[in-house]
Amino acid sequence: MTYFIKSYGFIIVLLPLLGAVVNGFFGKRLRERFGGTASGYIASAMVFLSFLLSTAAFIVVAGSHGAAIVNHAYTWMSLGTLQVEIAFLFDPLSAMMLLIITGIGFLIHVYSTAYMHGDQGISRYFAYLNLFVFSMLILVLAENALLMFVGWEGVGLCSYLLIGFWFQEKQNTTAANKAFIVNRVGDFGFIAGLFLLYWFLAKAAGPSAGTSILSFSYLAEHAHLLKDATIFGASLATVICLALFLGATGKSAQIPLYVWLPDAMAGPTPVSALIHAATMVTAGVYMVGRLNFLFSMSHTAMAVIAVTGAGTALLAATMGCLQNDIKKVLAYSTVSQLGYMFLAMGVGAWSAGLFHVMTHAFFKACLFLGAGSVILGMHHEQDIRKMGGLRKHMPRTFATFALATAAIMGMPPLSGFFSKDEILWQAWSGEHGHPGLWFAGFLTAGITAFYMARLLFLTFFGETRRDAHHNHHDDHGEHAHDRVISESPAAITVPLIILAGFSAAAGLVGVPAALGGSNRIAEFLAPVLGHHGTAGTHDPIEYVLMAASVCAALAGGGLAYLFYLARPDIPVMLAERLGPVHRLVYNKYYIDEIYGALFVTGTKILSRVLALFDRHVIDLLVNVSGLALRTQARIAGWFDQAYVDGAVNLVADSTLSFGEQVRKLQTGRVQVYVLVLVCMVALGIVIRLMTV
Amino acid sequence: MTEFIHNHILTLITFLPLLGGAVVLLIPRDRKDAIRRTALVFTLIPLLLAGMLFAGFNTSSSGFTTEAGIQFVEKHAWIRDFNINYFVGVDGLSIPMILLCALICPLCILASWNIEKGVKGYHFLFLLLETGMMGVFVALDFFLFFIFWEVMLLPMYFLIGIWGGPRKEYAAIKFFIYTLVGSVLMLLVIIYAYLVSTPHTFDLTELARNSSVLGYRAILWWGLFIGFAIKVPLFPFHTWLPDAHVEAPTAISVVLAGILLKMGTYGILRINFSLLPDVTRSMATVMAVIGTINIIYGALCAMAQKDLKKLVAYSSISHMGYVMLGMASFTDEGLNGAVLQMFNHGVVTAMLFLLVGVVYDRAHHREIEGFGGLASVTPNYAFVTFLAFFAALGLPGLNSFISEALVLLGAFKTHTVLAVIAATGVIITAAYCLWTLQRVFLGAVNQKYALLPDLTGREIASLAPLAVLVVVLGVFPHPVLNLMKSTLGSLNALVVAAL
Repeated sequence: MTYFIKSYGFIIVLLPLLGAVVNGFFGKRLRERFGGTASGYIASAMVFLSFLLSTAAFIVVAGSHGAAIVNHAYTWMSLGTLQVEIAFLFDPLSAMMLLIITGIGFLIHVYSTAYMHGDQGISRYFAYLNLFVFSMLILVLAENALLMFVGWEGVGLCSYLLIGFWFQEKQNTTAANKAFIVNRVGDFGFIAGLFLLYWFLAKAAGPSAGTSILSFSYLAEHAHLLKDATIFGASLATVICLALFLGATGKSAQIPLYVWLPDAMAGPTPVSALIHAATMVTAGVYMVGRLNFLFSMSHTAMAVIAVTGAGTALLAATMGCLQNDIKKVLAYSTVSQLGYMFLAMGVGAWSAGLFHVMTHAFFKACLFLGAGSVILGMHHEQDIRKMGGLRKHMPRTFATFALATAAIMGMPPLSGFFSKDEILWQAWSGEHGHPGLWFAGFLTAGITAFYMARLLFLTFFGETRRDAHHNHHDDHGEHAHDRVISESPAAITVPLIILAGFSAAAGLVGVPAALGGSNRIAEFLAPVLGHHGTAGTHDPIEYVLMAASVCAALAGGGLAYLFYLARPDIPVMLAERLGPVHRLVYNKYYIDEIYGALFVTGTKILSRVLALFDRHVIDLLVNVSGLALRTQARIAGWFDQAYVDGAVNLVADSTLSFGEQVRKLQTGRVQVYVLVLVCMVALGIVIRLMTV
Repeated sequence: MTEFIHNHILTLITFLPLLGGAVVLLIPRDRKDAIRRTALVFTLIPLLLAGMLFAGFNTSSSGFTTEAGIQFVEKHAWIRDFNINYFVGVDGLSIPMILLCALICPLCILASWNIEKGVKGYHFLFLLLETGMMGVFVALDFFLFFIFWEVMLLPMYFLIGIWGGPRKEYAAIKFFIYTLVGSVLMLLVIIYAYLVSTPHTFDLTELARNSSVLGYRAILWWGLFIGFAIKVPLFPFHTWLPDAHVEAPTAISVVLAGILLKMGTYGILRINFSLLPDVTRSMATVMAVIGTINIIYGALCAMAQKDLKKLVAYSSISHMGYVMLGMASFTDEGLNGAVLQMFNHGVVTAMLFLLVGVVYDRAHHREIEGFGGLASVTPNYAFVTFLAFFAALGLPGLNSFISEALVLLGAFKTHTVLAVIAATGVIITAAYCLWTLQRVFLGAVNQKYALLPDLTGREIASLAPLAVLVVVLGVFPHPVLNLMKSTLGSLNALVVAAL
């Protein structure tokens, strides 16, 4: 089996591409021949096959005790010191990601067959979705950083295509553009960091031709060369890491580039679950983890990452508290949770961060899919103020959603508890940790519990507000039974149940030593990420912190219960009391508006100005020189007529007048001619005689 | 027969279009389809021959500075008294350009199928133009090079001036005079080089080997450089381009952006680099700065355009900046990236101009704001356009990414700051490309164009080869990279060693 992965590992990647090609180019014919469901089945089947092979790869990797397996496909570029392979790397880190992507990916494909049922563009949808899985697999399996960038941009493309999937709504396409362009800012950082790294290593490491400098194994081996290198007076390692991290802030929606993710909710809900919660947005965390040897070269970069992560976690959590769109709440929650992961990366708790990537993938996918089920049940209503009481109508959706909510709140012994507490503990005690970082995380845990509980209560508890509201002005609308809220079909609830199961149980792979576990996931990932920070295994503070974060979660949840179930008048009153603050948070601190004015409008104005400059200044110079030339030509023309031509005419005129005069000799009388002849001959003789 | 073809393949590639032009002249003017078909055949044969050239090309050839580096050489005395030779040959620098030219010309004939005015004259001039372009790329005699350079200019002038849009005369004359200024500068250098060489020669390989005889080197360099810069076009000599593009008929825009612009950078590489390597080397920063300005300035100007064709024209200026930046890096990555970018940009921009032509044929305008929702109406057209624009914005997996990445990799080595600035171009490019796609294709359907027909078979035939190349060369760039690698390696070594 090892041989199979080593030789044919690329098949895992190619299967979804095949699905995308089939659906993309033959989707219409498929639909005509086999009906609208065929697209979904093909796409799901491809991802499922990929999942089976991924499982095999995982088993192989797990059995190989950390030795990486590389499947070389072919050489992509080979030039001088540049050698880039198309090769896929199977090691514990990529194997774990592989299972998440294909596993959750498959469930979401199945879910989509029901969710997107009857949509006009269903083949296009599944083509994009398959293409996404393909790109994401390239991203995590890439053996070198440039190939990783291919996946990195590929997922960005698919995200763009899927956010703008319903492209007839202008708003959706604007959100898609925003996502891609904001990500491009990050990509610029990624590229700059990568090329600086290449530039330095090509110089410092003195590679022989045909060395794949950008391959992760080469980078890991030579990263130490960066130790004392500087560029423009700054540490080169710091510059490179910060540039790469800029890339991560784009893809993983961190400050300052998080603004695209909430808007990305314009896409179909399963897309939000797969791309904007479970997989793509964690790519930045994965990249930092993959290049951990590089990031650990720079304390400054690590500190920036940790602070950015903690700051994003806190900021986004506060924004999530006042959102009324069910998907927006989850979007800010995702931003916040990603902040957690970066907090972990920043304090050097690599495996804790990636552990949270995994648990978050399960519970956030479950939450998003649950939200999708709710939206379907509510006939495309997304405003939680108009929901309520859904637990009676959608029991399965409710149960799974509640379980996932408890998981994200960090309730023991659900998955979120273990991964979050690992992060908080490392933020406190880790090598790069700081109590301030822990406190931000702790606070975030409380706020997270608050807004998630709020979401749960407003959606599933109390009375169904929409019905009352609806009946009120629906006397000439549809029949009542069209509007019945009912549980979603099995294709939707079964994935929900599976994901809820994992949300509950996945944490068990990372039970810390303090609770009698052995943190198996950290053990498993150690060949890639190294062993770290498990020194104080029986530090009593760890228990205190654990208890504190659970209390924070309970307090947050309790507050939400008070506000939104027991005393709904309190939040209304508070909103009035805290008018300006409430408005500030409600409008997400006006950051979108500030960015819009600063960057979008700024760039547009700059481009207009330059275009005008081009048309009116540079072209003016051209036209002026043209004019100058024409003026000169006119002067020359005048000169030509007056003098040159004058001279010519003078010659002609004088010739003419000379002729006029000479003509008079032509009298026609022979005597005169003879006379002239004789005179001439005589003159000739005289001259001849005189010259002798 | 095969022997004959093999020995005269470059001559055949160059002059078969001209022969085609003569044939076209013999066809009665009202038999328009016969004229079109003839033109197509006479552009397809050079494509076929170019394929043979590609197959027979020895990729380890080191380039024209050594006698052995040139392949498929034909050398005959032409004007013996002045030692002017008909001297043609290819190396790794010219062969990608020949392939590009051979590929694009038949597609242009296809794209010209709906031209009804003066069909005969149009196709004659087009075929003459192809001969001129091919000639520039195969000529290794400076005099011959100059002749072809001028041959190409004339049909272009008429093709824009007669078959162009409302301001065609202005655009044609601007193009003509601008290029002529460049030609004059080049001519002066040619004559000077001829006079100082002993024995007097126009042979570019000879001149390259004995380039030390040339005096006034900086002046010569600038004379040539400005001449070529106009063609590229480099800032600030670029304003003829948007005008020419807006007025030119589709196929001519395709040729202009796809092939003619490359002659500028080709000339710099072929002549400035080899005849004046030391000056070239010392001008590294100047070239890199100009290249960076082109990238950023062109992209920002593109963003502000309201006319789709003008937008694509400015995007060409931006993308040609990468070529310049790569050339100025004097690294293997940068130089190969530059020439690959010439090829890739040729493919992508040809696609873009063809696509603009498609919508212009149907809607008779090119206002970006005037469309909307075309993706629902013409899905195939939308698909190909998205592909082309994503190639233009350098999406990895498509061809332009590789060349731009190589250019930047090279530039990071020698002009780190400029490379960082240039890299911000990827953001601006993404912004204007996506913004354009959104305004034209996405959103609610503009009812005015609700019944716009999708791509026709002929249009698909003209776009499909390019679309395939965009993808294939993005995934597997070796076929083109291998052609140029060793020639550019030796050219780069020549320049690097010069200082």
